[in-house]
Amino acid sequence: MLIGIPLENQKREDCKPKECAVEMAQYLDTVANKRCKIAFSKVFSYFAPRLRSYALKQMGNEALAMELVQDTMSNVWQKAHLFNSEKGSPSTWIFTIARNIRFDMLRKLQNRKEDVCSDDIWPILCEQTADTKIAPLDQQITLEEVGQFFEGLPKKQKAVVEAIYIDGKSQQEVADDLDIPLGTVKSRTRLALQRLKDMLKEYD
Amino acid sequence: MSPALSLMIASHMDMCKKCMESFDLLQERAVNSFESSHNSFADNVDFSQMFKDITEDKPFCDGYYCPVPQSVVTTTLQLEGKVFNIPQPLQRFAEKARNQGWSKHLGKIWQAGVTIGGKNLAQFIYMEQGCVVPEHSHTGNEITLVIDGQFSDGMSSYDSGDLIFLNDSHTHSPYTANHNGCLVFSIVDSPLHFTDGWAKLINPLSNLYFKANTD
Repeated sequence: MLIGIPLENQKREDCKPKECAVEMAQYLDTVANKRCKIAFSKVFSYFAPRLRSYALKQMGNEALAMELVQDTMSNVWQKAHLFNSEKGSPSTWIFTIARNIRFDMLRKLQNRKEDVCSDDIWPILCEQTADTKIAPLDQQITLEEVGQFFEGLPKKQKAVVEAIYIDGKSQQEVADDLDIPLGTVKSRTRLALQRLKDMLKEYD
Repeated sequence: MSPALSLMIASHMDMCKKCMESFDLLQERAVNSFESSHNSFADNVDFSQMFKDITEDKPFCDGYYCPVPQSVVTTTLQLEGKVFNIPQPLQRFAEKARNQGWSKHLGKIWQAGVTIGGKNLAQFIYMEQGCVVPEHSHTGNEITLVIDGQFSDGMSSYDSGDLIFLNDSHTHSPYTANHNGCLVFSIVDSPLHFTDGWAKLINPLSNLYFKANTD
């Protein structure tokens, strides 16, 4: 069904990395929100060849290089919602995913027994596992959907919830970071969670 | 770089703004070279099957990347009524240490070994105030990260965030003397060798102990 989507393999050299960053960030956003294959094809055709060159240089083996490309791009497709343009450019994000996968690939290939994985060293794609505070909600609702509702929160509430539930900070740390009273952090968290709950109820 | 070394350096960076900044700079350079690494050969590679597999969410052999679930992470360790913040890369191992519990040696040294795999012995060590570890040499490499506190060892003094590399040419006797207690995380790839008086007696035990923990 997607065979009709052309892969733009050719001639994107005219696109300067900085300009591309904005464009690619928008595509990633569309992939995250709409599972849009066309948007993903834009990201894919820009990054897949680059990843392949990078992987070939690092691993020196065509099959492994393609595996690295596929594993990286799969993660981009499935976890686009974890991309945060405030934390860095799409290239940085995708590069760091590839680097992590390479670390774990090497570990596996060399049959090392070390129990140290890339996520210990560079947590890039850590997803908040279902939190007890949001637990009573319908099991059917996927993280992606919650992510979409989350986008709908007011900016200030979003920042607080993100710091606490995604970055795992304590309420006090968040208060210090944002330079606001602890009480404000608590009320914003409460309001945000209430709002999420309401949105999810409506959705049901 | 071995995984054990990567772990130690990442933990140090988590505590050291300067190294983190250098790292960011290096990473940015790597990203730039990655982004400009497109060569025209790649234009002839057919990615369409891969694109199809990915977007149809076909399970892909065994994905290499496995995120660490938040539930197996401990951000602080508590000992003797004190609370220590653990650098992010060590948090999964802190959870192991917490579950396993601490053992006390020589009156003032607390120790919690964790498996990090490979031919390594990794442990959190807490030296109480006024603690002296008997003089020892190393039969291999030892990397130590000071997580919280200070200690000295006759060669130098160390503070929170310091990363210490020692090998078989170093003999030392860590002590906390006037300092408050000190929590460190240390990885050795072969046993310590005690060189001082009565402590020599525990060398054979230290060997046994080392083997038992790395099997």
